[in-house]
Amino acid sequence: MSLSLRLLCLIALGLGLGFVNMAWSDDCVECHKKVTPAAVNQWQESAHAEKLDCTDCHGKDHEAIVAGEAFVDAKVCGRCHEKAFHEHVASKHGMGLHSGWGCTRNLDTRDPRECAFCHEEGSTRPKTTVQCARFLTQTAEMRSLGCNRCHQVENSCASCHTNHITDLAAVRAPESCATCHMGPDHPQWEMWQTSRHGVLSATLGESAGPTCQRCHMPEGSHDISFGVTMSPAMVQLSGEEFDQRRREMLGICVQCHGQSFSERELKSADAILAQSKKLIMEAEVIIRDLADRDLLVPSLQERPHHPLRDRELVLDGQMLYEDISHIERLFFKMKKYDLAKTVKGAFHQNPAYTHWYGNAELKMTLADIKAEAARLKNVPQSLTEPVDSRAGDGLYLSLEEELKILKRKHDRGAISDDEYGEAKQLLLKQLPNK
Amino acid sequence: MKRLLFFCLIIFALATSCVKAPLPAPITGHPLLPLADIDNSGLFAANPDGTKIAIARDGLSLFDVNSKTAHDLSLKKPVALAWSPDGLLLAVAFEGADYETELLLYSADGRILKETSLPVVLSQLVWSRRGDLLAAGFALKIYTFGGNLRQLLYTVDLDSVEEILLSDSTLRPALARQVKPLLHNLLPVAFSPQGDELVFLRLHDPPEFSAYFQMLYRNWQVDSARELDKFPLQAMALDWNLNGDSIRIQSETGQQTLKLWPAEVQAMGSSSAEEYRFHNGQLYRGSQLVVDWGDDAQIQWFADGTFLLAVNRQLYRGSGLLKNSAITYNETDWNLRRWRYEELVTPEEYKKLRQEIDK
Repeated sequence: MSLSLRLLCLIALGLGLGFVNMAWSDDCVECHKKVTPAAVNQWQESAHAEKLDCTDCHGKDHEAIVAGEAFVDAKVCGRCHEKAFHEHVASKHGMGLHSGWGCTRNLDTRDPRECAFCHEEGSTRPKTTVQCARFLTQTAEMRSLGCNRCHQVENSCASCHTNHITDLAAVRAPESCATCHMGPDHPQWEMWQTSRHGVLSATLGESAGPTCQRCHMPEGSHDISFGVTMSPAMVQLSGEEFDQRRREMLGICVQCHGQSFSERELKSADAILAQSKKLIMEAEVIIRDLADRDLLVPSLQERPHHPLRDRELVLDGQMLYEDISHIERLFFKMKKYDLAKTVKGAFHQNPAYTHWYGNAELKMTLADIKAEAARLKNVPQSLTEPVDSRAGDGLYLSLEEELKILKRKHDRGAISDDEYGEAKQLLLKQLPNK
Repeated sequence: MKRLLFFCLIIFALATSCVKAPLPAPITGHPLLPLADIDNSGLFAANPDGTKIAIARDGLSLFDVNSKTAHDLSLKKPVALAWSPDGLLLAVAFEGADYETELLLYSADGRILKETSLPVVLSQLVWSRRGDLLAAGFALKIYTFGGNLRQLLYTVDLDSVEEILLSDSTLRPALARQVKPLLHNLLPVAFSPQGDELVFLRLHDPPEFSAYFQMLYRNWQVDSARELDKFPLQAMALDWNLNGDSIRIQSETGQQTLKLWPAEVQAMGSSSAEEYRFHNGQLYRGSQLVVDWGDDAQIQWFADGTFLLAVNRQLYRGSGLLKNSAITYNETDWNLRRWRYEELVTPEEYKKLRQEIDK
């Protein structure tokens, strides 16, 4: 075949492919104007309409699209929006799904498409080992709507930007964050809205009162961890990481406030975080002691297995709010709701959240926990479990209980080997026949 | 004719003298004295002071040693007999229908006080030193897709029957059918002399491997069992030592002793070299064979050195066989043993405290 003939064939092929592509897009629009007119309208009015057609993002496999297998994830957007994609992936939003997801492969209701959230195609290796016990205990419907609708932010730019709209006004408004950042566990929206920042923003505009985006996503950055000195579990960062994040936030504050004022306010919030966590620790010690004494109702043996820790008493970020005792439920409220309101209220400069919704609730719940602990300790044992009259009543039974409590404390590291040995000897001295 | 009669008499006399020939006694000068007839199962149980003996003989009889009289308790043949440590209750197990066990509690004078049915084939019937009646057994259900083998322990008293699950195994269909008629010999259960702990075999049939026995150890008052060892499928015998701290295992590969605890405690005044032990009709002193009465022989010792021996359809009484077998109930030791099992006290702490008790 001559060179000119080959060239001619290639041109024809190129034209042919271009025609097919155009035909595809025309087909999409033609049909989807009837099927999903809003999506077509939004795309036609968007900045994407000039440069991209449907297949650029959705691909050409219509069957896969219909089956929901051609998910337009963040990587698709990242092909063009490279900087935003990398900032997003490195930020807390980039672990949004991880922090709310557990492996679903053993669940009856598992949707195979979910694999793509945690695994690269063809890989069984998860992107992270983080799992969420609260997610795993939900129904498929609740997991989809109640968990993933927010936590899918890791993989979905549409979480904030919506699917076809490109008008940045929609994502630059603080309301955009409110869909997820509201409610009892982290009411950033409500506490900002009613803070001086929020009120000034609502009344005099953004130049007078900063929005979420102004402080946390300066200059359009997608690193929403910017200036934040706590982990999602409200553990204070340390060392260079803390210093860097604090410098970032001070850089924002000083755009309106003095340096020393800004430093003092943030330090006050740091102090409130430390003070509040002390209250949490106090409550945790009480509950662990009750678990050592097997006084929780239902007991760790009686309740369903924890999806990640089996029979362990779980009071950390994997704590459940169901199938637990009343005193644990009080602790959950204290840690998940009251602590968050106090601390985030302080950092967002909202006195009512910091004090009344937060601090006061923290302390009142601690009082409830103490009262409940006292009640549980005074419940006659016969009410919680039948006593085997032949298992050694009186002295033997009480010594056995004390030995079990000591062992649990020792096993979880609350007392040293020496303390354990000494305390045990004191108990065993009470045995008769010696 | 006279000669023939004379010859017959001689033959008869010789035959009779063979039957009546005295059994070898374990100690010279302490002959075995015939006491009563017994059936070929050799099953009997005497109360703690040896004055009343329940004997399997055309059903079940209660024999009064002092009056030498017996009266029938049942026409059914028992499969297990056990007197309570205080001698007030006699537990008797009969084979029931559909692989069940009928369990009856009699008073010392032979009145039925309780009758209950256990949904298992009985493996072992014992009283603990504390006075718990313990009945261990197994139940095998065969389905088209496989078998479910459960080993269960029942604690029985006059008011209640409590069930404790010892093991639960799923068997492949072929294995389930194959072992069903053999299970009684394949699943031994051995209780400690105190009756608080037991060692037993669990038949494990994992999907990817050959079936095997898991030897499990458990204090029955505590929920969980511990694996001691694994063995290929075979008939095995388990036998606790006197102290209840180690177990002798007789398997196809020979005999071995398994210490259950690292700090083994020897009971005061006993040593394994002097201890009498009875196994498969053979009497040992330490490791020395004293006498072999045959596989079917059964023995029961008493604290004063007397003993009862069932052999050749005859029950004998002997004496002079001093054995440190008098494990008495001690509440502190009973609780300490459970605490040791639950790891609330270490084996070393148990050993120290036990020595203080023995003093």
